[in-house]
Amino acid sequence: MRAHDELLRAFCSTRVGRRRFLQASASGVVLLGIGALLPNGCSRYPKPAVPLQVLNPREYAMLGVLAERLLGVAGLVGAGPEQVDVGRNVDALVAPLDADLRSQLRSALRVFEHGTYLFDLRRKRFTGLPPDQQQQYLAGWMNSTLGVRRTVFRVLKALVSAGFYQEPRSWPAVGYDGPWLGRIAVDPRGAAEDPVPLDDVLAGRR
Amino acid sequence: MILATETVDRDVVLTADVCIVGSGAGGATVARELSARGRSVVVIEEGPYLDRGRFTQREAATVPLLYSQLGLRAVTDATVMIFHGAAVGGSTVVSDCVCERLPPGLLSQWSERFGLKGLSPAKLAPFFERAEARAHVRPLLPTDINANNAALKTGAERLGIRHRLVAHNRIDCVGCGYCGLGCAYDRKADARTVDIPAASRAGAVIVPDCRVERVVVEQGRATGVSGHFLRSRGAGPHTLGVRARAVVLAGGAIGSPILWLRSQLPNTHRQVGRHLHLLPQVVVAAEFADEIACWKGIPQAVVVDQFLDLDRRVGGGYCFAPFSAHPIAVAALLPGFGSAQRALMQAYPRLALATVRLHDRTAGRVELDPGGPLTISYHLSEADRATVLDGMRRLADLYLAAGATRVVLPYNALVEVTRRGDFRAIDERPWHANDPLLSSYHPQGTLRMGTDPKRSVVNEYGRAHEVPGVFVADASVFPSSTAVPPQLAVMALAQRTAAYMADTWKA
Repeated sequence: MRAHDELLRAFCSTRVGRRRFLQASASGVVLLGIGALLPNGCSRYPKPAVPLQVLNPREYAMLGVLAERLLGVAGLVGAGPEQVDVGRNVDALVAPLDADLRSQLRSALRVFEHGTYLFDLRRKRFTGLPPDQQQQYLAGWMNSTLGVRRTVFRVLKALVSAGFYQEPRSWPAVGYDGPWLGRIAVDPRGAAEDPVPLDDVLAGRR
Repeated sequence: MILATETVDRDVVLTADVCIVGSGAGGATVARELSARGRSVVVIEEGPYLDRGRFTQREAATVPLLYSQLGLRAVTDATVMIFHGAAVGGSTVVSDCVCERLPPGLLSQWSERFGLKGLSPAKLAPFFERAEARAHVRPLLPTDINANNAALKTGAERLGIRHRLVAHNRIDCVGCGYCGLGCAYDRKADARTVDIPAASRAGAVIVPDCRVERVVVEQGRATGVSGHFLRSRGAGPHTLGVRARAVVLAGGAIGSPILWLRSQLPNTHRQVGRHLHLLPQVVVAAEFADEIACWKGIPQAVVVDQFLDLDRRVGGGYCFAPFSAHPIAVAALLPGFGSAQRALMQAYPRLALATVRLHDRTAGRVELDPGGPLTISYHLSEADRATVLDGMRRLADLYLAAGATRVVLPYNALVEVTRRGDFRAIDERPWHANDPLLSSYHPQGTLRMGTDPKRSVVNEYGRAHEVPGVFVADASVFPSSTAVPPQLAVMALAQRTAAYMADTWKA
């Protein structure tokens, strides 16, 4: 894996003008470039049970598998009544992001899914690997000598953490008892000032 | 009065004595002080004005609402996450309420190195006292210490390490522990609930949901700002113009230099955006046999400050501060993945969390490429890296002395220390960018104070050296890392700036 990191690093020597997230480093730009060239079809991925705002079926499926592997919650992720639909939740979280950042996230997902061929010399994409090989592949990203791969690992982990642990049904297993609001009676202090219409502001009326 | 931006249906032009860009600790203080002196004030805030009903104590709903860039801001190579507030009230809305005066040793250094003679502890004392009174600051009591703070305190006591209770701006706090997600009970004496309402009552106009594009300069002097509403009625965006005698930049250490650069204000000595300090921190977790429930109670009541190096040089050293987090943040922070990470999450109720917070000497930079996006560069120096690692060793030792069964370090992979004095896990591990993971809640510097225009941007009152009519009143004026959370210092210096502006005009 490290040899492939070095190979990727060798391609990266130009200074980057426009910088953001994965565009922060030359290797990030190469990674995004690879992402743009990878197949975008979703025909072999199961259809999500719910309509999505941003993600496609492949990304939705990937996030479910990633959540299971990264968070160690196999069987708890999905669209079933006792499960947490991580793909749907992440879709809602990334919807407000600007188009540029969303595009980079999706490229990162694409590179991660198909990076098995490049980084691990495997014949299947990430979601097609058996669980033990998925674990090995994830460890390669986590421990990579290439900063951008570690960053992608962190981002994916943060995304699925947000997608999974936002739901109250995930809390009892980790001993979190949830917000106080609605559980205890507390008198709020003071009263918020109500905003006033533009015409009143212009007229100096309170 | 606070403008309901959903009623904005046309382009708007306002006139005032002072236009303040940003409504956090600095902007709200200047607004309150000047409006109380009879000056007409307009405060413009890019973020929304939020009623406490929006503070739902749920991470996924509130973090994108309250933090800049939906909580995803980072330095450009993603090696340090930066969290700062992005609503009316700025970072005071999401702070843990720590209100500390600047350490005397630090102020002495500023006096010697930057010529800031007016910022001696004695001369600043009245401003700190006034800020403390306004923000209802009081020292916490031993009864305010939750189990997470107690774990840190116990370890410090057993090792004879200096620690103390800190002071907070809370009023009848109920101890729910959700300070970082905005106070749902309005028990935090922050800019949103104290200074902004006071300014509003005195006649200030608060304009939320509006992005200032540039400071307008005519004949070499600032005469106002122009921008546009991010929310309005009907077809937009509608523009906002404010004509003012003075413009106060108070958008924080990232926002203020961006506005300066975007406005192409004079920058002869290329000081704008430089000297960025982040007070970066790493989060260390320690597992105990008994329940800690780090998310319950006042998050930061004690600080271990023995290892701050305030007297010999500017920067250097670190402190330990308790850290509270809810499930999403904890899951994202805890190392490893799979079953090991799940086991850590299942130990969440028994985890104590604390940060090693660096008094950084590293100086980063905020830049705006012509026609391009913002760049925030910050590369931790070798010396600062060594200091962070030293802090991780000492904090691990402290927790083990307190009775922890294992200490989990902030690397990508699961790395633990289980025996006192055995730090091979740290010593043998190379430092990589974003491994260990750094985060920052207190960006500062970038428009620093000083007497020499070649080395600074504003004078000790926050007045710009090169642009008449421009003042700065936020954490960007600090000439070095402050070592302590800067909320109170920003308020105190902003009062000084406001007093200077008022006195100058009187004359």
